Amino acid sequence: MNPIDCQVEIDYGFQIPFELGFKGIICFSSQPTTEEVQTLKVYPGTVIEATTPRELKEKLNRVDGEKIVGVKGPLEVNRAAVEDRRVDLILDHNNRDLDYVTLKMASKKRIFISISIRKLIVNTGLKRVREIEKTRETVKVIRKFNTPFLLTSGAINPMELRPFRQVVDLSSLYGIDEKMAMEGLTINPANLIRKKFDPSYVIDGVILEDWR
Amino acid sequence: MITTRIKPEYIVAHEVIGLDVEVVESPNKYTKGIRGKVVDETQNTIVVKTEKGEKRIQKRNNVFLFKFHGTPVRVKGDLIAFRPDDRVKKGLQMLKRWKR
Repeated sequence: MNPIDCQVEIDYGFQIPFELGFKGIICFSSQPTTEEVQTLKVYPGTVIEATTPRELKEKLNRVDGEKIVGVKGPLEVNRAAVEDRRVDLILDHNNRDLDYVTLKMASKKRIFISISIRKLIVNTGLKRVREIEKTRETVKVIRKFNTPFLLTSGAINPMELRPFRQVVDLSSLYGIDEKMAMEGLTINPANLIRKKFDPSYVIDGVILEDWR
Repeated sequence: MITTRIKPEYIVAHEVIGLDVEVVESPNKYTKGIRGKVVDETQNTIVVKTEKGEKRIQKRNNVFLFKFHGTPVRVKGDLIAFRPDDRVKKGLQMLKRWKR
């Protein structure tokens, strides 16, 4: 079991996810590098924040190198992002807007949807209730269309990192059961990383290997 | 003579009858490890000729290892769970959508 935290925006303190039980993190920091800290693998990612689809396309054209591309923005940007092959992941943040059509398209195009527990930690009161409600609706549609999703702590500083067992337990508030949560923490991130960094990757579900 | 090499991922759209196969992952312990040659195919099952006779195995929830044009390819059964005549069209659509 190799849990991977998929939406981490920290530049330092990589020792902490290792001690919390993660085997890898996808780091969307200002200086993304691939490195290994003890046995924790750090994969580079880049965040694209846009307010219009046109801005999204311009920023996507400027992305270079092998990085996991995550997108943050309003609904129209998310819709444009799921139709673009260069996008890997729709990042989770406060007031993220994802509708039925976007999630259905993400399932067809195999774009990953990130679900973070940071919103539970940072928000309080009515705001937290609204975020939980929105995310529960998102999870229902993800389950219906079998959209690939990633479960993450969503930490933007090392103090917001959580052990992976806690991430699994807190995700139950979103209507995610343990089996689905483990899939979002282990199998799906591994698929994303294979898709991006493995030269022998073909398509999901097909692996080339040596004949025994 | 012109020869073209079919890429391994095209197995999702290719005919599987006649290929060597092994069931590498299965929730059913009696199905796991079955090895042989595919002799028939339906929408949800494949029939494998083994040393002990013909075995009918479901496609969904199993993972198969096919020997495809000399290359061993591990394929999830859910990707090939279509009628054989539909699988060409659906397989090519899948490849077009998912492949980068």
